[in-house]
Formats: sequence, structure tokens, C-alpha cells
Amino acid sequence: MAQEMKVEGRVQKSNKLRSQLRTDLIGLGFIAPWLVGFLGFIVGPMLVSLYFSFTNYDLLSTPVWIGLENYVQMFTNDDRFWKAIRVTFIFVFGSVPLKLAFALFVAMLFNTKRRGVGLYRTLYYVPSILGGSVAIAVVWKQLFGMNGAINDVLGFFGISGTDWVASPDFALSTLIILVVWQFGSPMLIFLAGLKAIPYELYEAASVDGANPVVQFFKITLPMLSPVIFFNLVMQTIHGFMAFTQSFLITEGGPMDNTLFYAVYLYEKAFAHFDMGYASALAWVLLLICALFTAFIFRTAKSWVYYESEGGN
Amino acid sequence: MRQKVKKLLWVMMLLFLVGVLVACSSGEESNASNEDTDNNASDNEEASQDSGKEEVELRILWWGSQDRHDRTLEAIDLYMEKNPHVTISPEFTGWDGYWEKMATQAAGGNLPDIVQMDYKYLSEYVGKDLLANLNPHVESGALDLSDVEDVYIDGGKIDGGLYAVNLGANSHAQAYDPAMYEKAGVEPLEPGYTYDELISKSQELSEKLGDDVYGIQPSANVMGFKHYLRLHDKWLYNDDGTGLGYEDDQLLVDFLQVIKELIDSGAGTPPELFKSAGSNIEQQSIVREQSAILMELHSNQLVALEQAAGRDLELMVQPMIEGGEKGHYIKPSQFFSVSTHSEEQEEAAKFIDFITNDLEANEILNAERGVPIAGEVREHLKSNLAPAGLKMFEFVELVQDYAREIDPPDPQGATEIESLFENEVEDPIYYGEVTPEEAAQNFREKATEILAKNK
Amino acid sequence: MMKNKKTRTLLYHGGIWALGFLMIYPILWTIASSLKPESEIFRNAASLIPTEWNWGSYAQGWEGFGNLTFTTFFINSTFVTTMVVIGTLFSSTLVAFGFARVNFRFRTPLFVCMIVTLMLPQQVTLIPQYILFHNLGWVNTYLPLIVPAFIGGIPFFIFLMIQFIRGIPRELDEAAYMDGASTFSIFWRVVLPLTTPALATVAIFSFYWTWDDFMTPLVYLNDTKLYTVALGLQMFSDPSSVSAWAPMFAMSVVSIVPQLLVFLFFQKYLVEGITAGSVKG
Repeated sequence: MAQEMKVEGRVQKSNKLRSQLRTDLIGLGFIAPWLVGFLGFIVGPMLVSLYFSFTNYDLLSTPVWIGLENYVQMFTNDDRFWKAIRVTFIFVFGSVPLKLAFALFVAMLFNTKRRGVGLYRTLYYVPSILGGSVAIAVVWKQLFGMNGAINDVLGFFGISGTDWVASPDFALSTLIILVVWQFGSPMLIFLAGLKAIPYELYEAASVDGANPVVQFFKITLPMLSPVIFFNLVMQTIHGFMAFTQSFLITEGGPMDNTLFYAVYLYEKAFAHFDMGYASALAWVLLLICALFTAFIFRTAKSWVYYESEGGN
Repeated sequence: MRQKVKKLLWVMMLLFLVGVLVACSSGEESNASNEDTDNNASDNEEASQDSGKEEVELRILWWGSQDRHDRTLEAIDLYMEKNPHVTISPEFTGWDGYWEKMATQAAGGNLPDIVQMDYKYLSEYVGKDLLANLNPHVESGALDLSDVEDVYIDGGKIDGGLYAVNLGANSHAQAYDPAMYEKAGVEPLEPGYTYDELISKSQELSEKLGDDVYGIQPSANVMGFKHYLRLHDKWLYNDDGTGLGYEDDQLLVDFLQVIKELIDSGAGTPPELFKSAGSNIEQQSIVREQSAILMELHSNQLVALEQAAGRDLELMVQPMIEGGEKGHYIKPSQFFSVSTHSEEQEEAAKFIDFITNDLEANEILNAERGVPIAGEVREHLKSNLAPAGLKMFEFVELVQDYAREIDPPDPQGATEIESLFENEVEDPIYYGEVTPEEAAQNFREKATEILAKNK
Repeated sequence: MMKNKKTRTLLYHGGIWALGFLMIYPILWTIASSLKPESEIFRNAASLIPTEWNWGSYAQGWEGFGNLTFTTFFINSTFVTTMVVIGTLFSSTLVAFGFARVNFRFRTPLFVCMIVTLMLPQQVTLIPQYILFHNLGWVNTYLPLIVPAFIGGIPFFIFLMIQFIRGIPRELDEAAYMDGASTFSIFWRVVLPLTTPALATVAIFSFYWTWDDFMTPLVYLNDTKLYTVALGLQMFSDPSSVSAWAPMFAMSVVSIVPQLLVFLFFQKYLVEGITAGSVKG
């Protein structure tokens, strides 16, 4: 009897192993495109940049190994690094929640079958399409400038404005408003997420007499949580890496008050020819991003609901 | 099993790292071997076709806007027509991204034969041995500079070697609106005026032009300070670029005091009115008739300024100090350089010679890059220039009376010094965040640290 | 009751239009500036109506540079962008399905690797990557622009698809599996059709990002005949001398048209998602 069980166990084990191997192969097969790209084109350059971060590398001549010097310099003797950290944190914590809330709000507004909704969606997506060309930088500066449309509107209400972009006090807030304005991409993702929620759930809830507010909290939010999670992670990472707004519009100024981390990094790399230092900055940014992302992933277990795993 | 796969993964990653590192370091080697094969190829060609010159291909890279692209492309076509054995492939972009493109190509050992250079980057590129010394080609006559005065050439020289040929002469200048002077009933300044006169003139304009219109858009940028230093026979950097070139912080304090007075007295536009314009010449306050004088620009920018303003403006030299030196210098607007990656440096030099001396080519180019450096070309173009262009020509001639020789190109790390100046001196002064004394001291401390790296 | 509904509809549309004006203001400004004479763009910047209608900028802009017109740029951009969209759809769906549905070993570490690649700023990998592509002989071809899309070069899309696939009930797969379907046919016949809204989103984003990107083409393309629209736009501007603003604004407006068309086309699938998504949950 015992003998039998042992044999059975071994057979099961080897069956299990075989089926696991099969699964491995299938899985690797599916992710093969990415794996090839990752190993062929991503890992190498990433590790090279890690190597650069331990060198003195001016882009144009051979890197010279200097150990941890870049990192030491950064943490002990670089005011602008700390300034950039501060600015970037304010930017991320100011813009991400606002942008997501606004995007969700607009997505809900457009998640109907009313006439003209397709056109509205397009209109509201326009600011995001405009992106980061030179032309657009001029538009934003114009809009928030002393003689711009924002001040015209404020003047209508009797408030006298300033040059929002050039003001040391308001420049950063202006950039935050600007990225909130470009809420198009999370909005679209929310919209796609909303569309994927089975309509029957709402029908059943209505039958049970749940009002729209209850429906929102009991159905919409949980069903949308994978997408909220995605947007939160991506917007946080994008926030930390934000570059264009500051680079094109305020050029980091006035007085470094909009010095985004990525802008500082860029300046080091391509204006000051200090690619070694820039690489070190990049890896510190990666660590910061990773910490926050890991934190979001940790908490996800308690608030993200997956239909596919819901049954378990 | 699991262990094994894990190990395998690590080994693969390592292999990739090694591969890429090798690829990086062999960048130069592979370039060298290219050169070998190319030489062989050209040897063969030479052997096969004794008659006629060997075929040459040149790559050329510049930045600019629509007008420059059109004109330069036409000039290149003309060159290829006149020199059928040369094929030039033009590569051109806007200003944005140009230096990233340059840097990546330099790192990849793949710079074009001819590149457009800026004065600001010259010593960085020469210091890294990326630009070829053109002296041999000047001596051989491939690059004929006999019609060019030294003031126009010196900007491209480092330690006696010519690394860059000026494409157009330029100068630091002020711009003013004669109509606004007239409206205010104020006589314009005369060249040779002092900083005090500038202040009182601006105040007068400000008072007479009414609310929300100011005399001058002040500028505390590094260009203005360099001018101020030159008036005192000093330069921002010392001779070997290892430290600041002036000892007395009072110089910077005095300069900043001028700007502060302009802003505080209401003679100058408040920073909110000009700060967001940044480097966009079209968004300066003079365009909107909010100030009568623009304190800082380059003379070739007058064309853009007039175009945006839609009215006539004039150029004016910068202030003097009593008993001081001459502050101006002839600034190269941009250069053509030959890269050391080029295998056809002689041919590249010949093309630069063509752009410098050929009358027909310069009729096409029409001084779009600044006042041409060859005397004959300059005379030839003068007769059929548009008014804005003519003003630029005349100004560059006028400036020679207020100019002396150019200082050596900025040392390595200069771009960092310039952003330091902007962040720790210029902006805080505009917004009244620091006193001139604090700014001057702070600047010295940090600048000394940056420049010490060159020791 | 009836009246109440009418007011609500009115309020809805009125509110959306009011906010909508703010949304499209920048594009209105760009259109207005493209029609102003150069001397008016910055002097009379706040006005949305030109005093003088200057249609010439469109022709002047389209003519481009030398023999190089925007016709070339648009053809190039269309080609590159189409390839990238196809590549992104291909790689992101396959890879996402693998991560979301197949329980292979090393799934989590590999997923972490993928997310981490999102966090390193491009500026520092630009040069090693350039050297890599240079040694492969890919510089001055479209390969560095297109190939990464096919091999999941933008993990954003993979992650997005993963999230959507995880939202699809697993019972559907299991039912198909019981019927003897292979993993691939579950992917192809069961999961993929249910992700239509997500696919539309991926298509819209990858189109827009590629269309708008100028750094990658700028660095990797040398021959101007290969240049894309985004590069063409950037070639009008030179702050150190004279920029051609009106033609640049004109071409900016023209370059937005394909993006709007693509958006209008694909957003329909966001709507159709309703029916697809409601297949018995």
C-alpha cells in the first residue's frame, strides 16, 4: 500500500514536472518577442549606463572609472540635486492624483450613449495630442503669459494676474495644471476599462434599488480597480520622469523652481557633458521609482480586484 | 533544474553586457578598419580611372530654419554642379536636438565630414579631438582665407590652430525702437554712452511713454557681464580656464547694481513681462511695444525681431565706461568645422572655401548666417540687401570702432558656469531674492569649484 | 419629468462645450497663428482672429526645404507609424497574454524586469543604444524606429494589456480548455476579441506617440529623405536666428489631422466594446 502510494507520487511528480515544463515553454513562447528585445536591446544599454554611473564620462572621450564618486557628490555636495528632488516630488504628488481624478470624472461623463459623445471625446483628447512640439511650447507660454488668455479670463472676474510661467511662486503650479490638462491618456484607459464592465452588474444593482452613488462605489470602482492601478503606477513613473513641460516651457526656471529631475539629468548629460554623473542620477531615479512602484504593488493586494482571480 | 535555468539567465545577461561593452570600445577600431577598406577602394578607383578626379562623398550637418535650409541646399547644388566629382549629402535639423544628435554621432564615431559649430561648444569639441585642425589646408591653398581679416578668423582659433571657419560675423548689441523715442520726445543715445546715461535715458523714456510701457528691458545675463568685464580689461575666465578671470567681486556687484536700479526705479520692465519669453526673440517686450530698448541680443537677430514686430527697429552698441577699454568683439555667429571622423578632410575644406569666397554661392546664401567674412563677398552683397540685412552689415562695421580682439573660447565647463550664472545670479536679481553682494560671492564660490576640475 | 430630462441634457451638453472650449483653445490658437502674417503672431497673440487672413503659410510650409516637401515627411511618418502600431499590437497582446494567463516559472521576476525598464530615463541609454544600432548597421534606416515595437520595446502597452486581460473572467478560458482548445486558440479566439477597447487604446497611443516623437528619428536618421513629420516641424525653428513661425504653426495643424482621424476611427471600437464586454460575465 505504502509502496503503491510512493510510486504514484513519483509518477505524479514527474507528470507535474512535465506539465510545468510544458507551461514554461508556452509561457516563454508568448513572451518571446519581449524577451528577445529585452535581452538584445534593453539589458545591454541599461547595464552600460550603470557602468557609466561609476565613471567620469564626458560623452566624447573614454570613460574613466571613479567608483562611487558621482553618487557621493550627488548626496553630499549638490544643492541642485536636492532641489530637483523636491520639485519632482511636489510635481508628482500634486499632479498624479488630480490628473487621475479628473480623467476618471471625464471618462464617466463620456461613458454614455448620448449623441455627439464621440466628438466630445475627441475634443477632450486634443490637449493630449498636442504633446511636446516647439509650436505647443509657444502656445502654453502664450496662454499662461502676462498677456495671455488665462489672465484675460481672470481679468473678467476682476483678478489681476501675473506671468504664471515666469513667476517663481506659481511656475510649478502652472506646470501641474498643464499636465492635469493633458489627461487624455488615462481618460482613454479609464474609458476602455469602463466599457469592459459587464452591463448586467448595473442592471442587477438597479433592480436591487442601489442608487448611482452606491453603484459607483460598489461596482464601478472595484471593477475598474485593475485599470486604476495601472494608471496610478504609470502616471507615477511618468511623473517622476517628466521632462517636456519643464524643458520646453520654463527651461527649469525661474531660479530652478521647475527643475524636474529629468531636466537636471538632461542638462548634466547634454549641456554639461557629464554623462557619468547623469547616469548616476538616472539610477538613483530608478531606485526612487522602484520604491514607489513596489509600494503601490504591495498595497494593490488589498484594493485591486481581478475578475479572473475573484473566484478564488 | 530551477537553479540551472537561473544560472543560464545570468550567464546570458553577462554575455550581453560584455558584448555591448566590447561593441562600445571597438567603435573606434571598426571606424579605423573602415578607413582602411575605404582607402583600398579609393586606391583601386584611382588606378582604374586616371582621368578625372576620384569620386568624393561628403556628409554635412547644420541646424537652422526654413530660410537657411533652402539657401544652403541651393548652394550645395551649385557646388556639386561646379565639382561633378563631389556628392554632398545634406543633413539638417532645427536647433532643438542638434547637440544631442552631434553627441550621439560623436560617441558612435560617426560624425559627418562638415558640421556647423557654435562658439559655445567649440572648445569642448576641440578638446575631445573631434574637430580637425584646418591650418594645413589653409597653407595648401584648399581653404583660401587671404581675403579675410583676422578679426573674423580669430574666433575659430584655439592655441594657434584653426578649427572652425566663421560663417558670419555678428556682435552683441542692443535694439531700440526709434518711433517710441520720437513719441516720447527723447533723443536716442549716441554710441559711446555710459551705463549712467543708459539708466537716466531709460527713466526718461519710462516716464514719458506712460503706464505699462517701460524704457528698457533689462538683462543681467552672462553676456552683459562679460561685456562689463571687458570694459575693465578683464575676462570671465583666467587664461588656462581653471578659475575666474577677475579678482574683485565689486565688478559683478556694480554690474548687477545697474540692472537692479533699472528695475527698481521703474525704468526697466518687471521680470514678469520678459522672463517667460526665454530665448525666444519674438516674444521680447519690445515686440509688443512694452519697452523701447532691448538690452541684449545678437546683431543677426534683428531680422527676426523686426519680422515679429512688424516695424523698423535699430541696433545700438553696448555702453562704455569712462577711461575703460573697448568692450565689443566680433563674434562668430556659427562655424563650419571639419570633423576628425572625416576621411576627406581636404575636400571638406574646399567646400568651406567655396562657402566663404564664392560670390555666386553667397548671393544664394544672402548673409543669412551673419555678415560674410570675405571682403569681396561683403562688398558684393551690400548692394542688394534687404533693409534689415543692411542694418546688420552697417552695425558690424560700426562695432569695429568699439571692439578689440576676442577672448579665447570658453573653457570646458563653461555651459555649467552659464547655467550657474542664470540660476544663482540673474534670476534672483530680477526677483529681488538676493543682494548683488550675495550673488557675487555665491557665484565665485560655486564657479571656482566647477572650473577647478580643469586643473 | 420630460422637461427635467431636457434640462439635464442641455446642462450636460452646455457644460461639456464650455469646458471643451478650454480643451481646444490651444489648437484654435495654433490655427489662428498659422493664418496670421508673421508680424502679427506675437504682437497680437491673444486674439484668435487674424486681422488679415494669410493662407500662404500652408503652401509655404508644405513646400518644406529645398526639394524636400511635407509630402515626403507624411509618407514616411505614415509608414513608420503604421508599422509601429502593427508591431505594438502584435507584441503587446502576445506578451501580455503570456504574463497574465500562463503560469510559467520566473513569471514574476521577468515581470519585474519589464517594469523596471520603464524607470530608467532614456537620456542615459540613448548613447549605448546608438552604438549598438550603429554596430548593427541600422543607423540611417527605419529599423531602430520600427523593430523595438515588434519586440515589446514599450512595456507600457504590455502592462496595459496585462491589466485588461486579468479583468477577463477565467471561466471563459477554462470552458474553452475543456473543449480541447489549445492555449494559443484561447488567446486568439477567446481573450483577444474581449480586449477590443484595450486594443483600440493601444493603437491610438502608439500611433500618437510615434507620430509625435522627434528624438528617435532625429538621432537615428541622417538622410533627410527619410525624415518624419515631427522632424519636419522642428526644422522650422531656430531661436538663434529667424524661425519660420507661421509655416510651422500651419504644418503643426496639418500634422494633427491624421491623429484626429485615427482617434475618431478607433474610438468607435471603444463604443463597440460595450457589446463585446457584455458577453456573459
